[in-house]
Amino acid sequence: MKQSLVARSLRPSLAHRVAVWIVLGVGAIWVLVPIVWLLYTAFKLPVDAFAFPPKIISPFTLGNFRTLVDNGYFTAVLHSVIVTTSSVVASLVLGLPAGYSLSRGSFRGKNLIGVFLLASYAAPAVIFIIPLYFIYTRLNVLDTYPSLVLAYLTGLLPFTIWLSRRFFDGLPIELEDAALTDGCGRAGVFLRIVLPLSMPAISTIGVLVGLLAWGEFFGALILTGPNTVTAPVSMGNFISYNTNNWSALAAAGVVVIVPVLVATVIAQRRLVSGLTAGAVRQ
Amino acid sequence: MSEPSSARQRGRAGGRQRRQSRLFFITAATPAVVVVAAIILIPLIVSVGLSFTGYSIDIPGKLPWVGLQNYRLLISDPQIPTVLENTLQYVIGSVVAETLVGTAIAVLLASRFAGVRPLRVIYMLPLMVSWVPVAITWRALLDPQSGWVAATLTATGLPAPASWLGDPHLAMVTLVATDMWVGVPFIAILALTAILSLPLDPEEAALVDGASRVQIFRHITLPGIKPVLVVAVVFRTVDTFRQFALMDLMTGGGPGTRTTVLNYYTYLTTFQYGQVGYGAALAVCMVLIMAVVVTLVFVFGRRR
Repeated sequence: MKQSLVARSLRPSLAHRVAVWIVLGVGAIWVLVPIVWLLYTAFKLPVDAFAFPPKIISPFTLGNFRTLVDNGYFTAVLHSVIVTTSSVVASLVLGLPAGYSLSRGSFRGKNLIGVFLLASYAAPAVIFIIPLYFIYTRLNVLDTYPSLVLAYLTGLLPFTIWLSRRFFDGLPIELEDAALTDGCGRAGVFLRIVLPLSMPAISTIGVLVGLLAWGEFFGALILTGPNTVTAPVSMGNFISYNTNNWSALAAAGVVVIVPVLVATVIAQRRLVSGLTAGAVRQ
Repeated sequence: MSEPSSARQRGRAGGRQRRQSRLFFITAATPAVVVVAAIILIPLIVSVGLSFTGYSIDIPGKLPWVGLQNYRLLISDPQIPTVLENTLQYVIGSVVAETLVGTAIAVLLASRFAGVRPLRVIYMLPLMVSWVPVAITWRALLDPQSGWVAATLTATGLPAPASWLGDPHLAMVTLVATDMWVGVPFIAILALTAILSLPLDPEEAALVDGASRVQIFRHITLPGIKPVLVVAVVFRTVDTFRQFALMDLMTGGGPGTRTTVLNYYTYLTTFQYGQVGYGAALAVCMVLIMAVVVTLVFVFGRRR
């Protein structure tokens, strides 16, 4: 971190530092309490989680996860894995070449396409889900993976194209020009130079798209059935019928959140830079 | 080979290259364009089409054309003023609170003294938690009997309300506060990254000249992070406007219709009451409202 002599000589007073620590500390507690609750309650006995006042000490149990197994929750988690993986792969395979073309190609309506993509991402999902529900019912394809992934792509594909275009805009063009003069075709440049160079950015975009797909609720609630029900929908059903079983709900939350948190801590730097790359150069 | 012919050859090769590149760009973009057109334009057209019909889930065989009747209903619907007011409260309340608190936290997190950096990771965590677990966890924490919030208030001798989500005076504020758990860190992390990427020299020069922290923030930091802040605000506006999980899993739009926002009302109309035609008209209005709002935020954000 840059820290010049001037900055050090103007070091904030102790009172100032203590005040900052207190404010940020209180904020951090507010941020951490729900996560602690989830991790803690997931391993408590259901009776203790529902006790009044809440019981702090409870025997450690894995019984809540067994309840989830009995309720078919892990089938829903498996559906979520399938839908999320397919959505990420489809978004990247379709979106990256399109983002590259938008970044490097010169054709009319380029900026208009950019605005259209942003607008598609910003549009409330309900404008797509209502007609898709209508169309899928007619075609008899409700509750199938391809139809669900297509519905997810209404938001994820524009997002991927827009984000990857912003990223490709920031890549130095000289390398590509050199390769082109050396007789490497445009496709070769994209596949052999641009893609390998962009792996960090691509994985960031993949993680962001994966996060959105993993947490998707509204579209999945309307368009899934027993064959494709996803973890968030299953969790939502569980709270509607089983309000009092907080510990099982917490366990369900842990199953969904822990993999994401682990992935985040590993990829944290890249995630932030990816988010801001999209934000700074809008 | 003579000089001029080589130059001409290079020129020709360049032309071929440009044509070849062009062909690649078109080929590479086509699949995405086709898919986007299919999954975005077709549903949009179907939505607008459905909004002119009286289609109902209960009578799936019929598609009666009703013209502008759904849009007329939208104006006369006695629920709409309440729903719009709820929507305004939720969106503006969340976005304003999240922007103010989030920016403040970002400034503090950017402090360059010991003990601050480890906290930055903590503030990133909520960005990774999706809305369903957020809704469930906060509902559990706010449970009047077994919730940790009520227990803490009681233990410290403070008055705890009988119910957070069931009380018409508290339900909306509670939902906004829950939205803030994700929204404040979102703004804070984006703003923090922007602050850290600003050059240090102007700030130091101002400090040497005896400028106050408030002046530095107002005249140096804020203008520097404004472009990022505008985008962050647009993201939060879009997201709060289409918030669904919190209403569905925490209040069900209640008590009464106290937390029924436009997005949730559209869902109820379409999928609970089965009035797809009217629901489609509501959805079309939502898109128009969002388009106007996002344009306004960008226009005002660009200024100054």
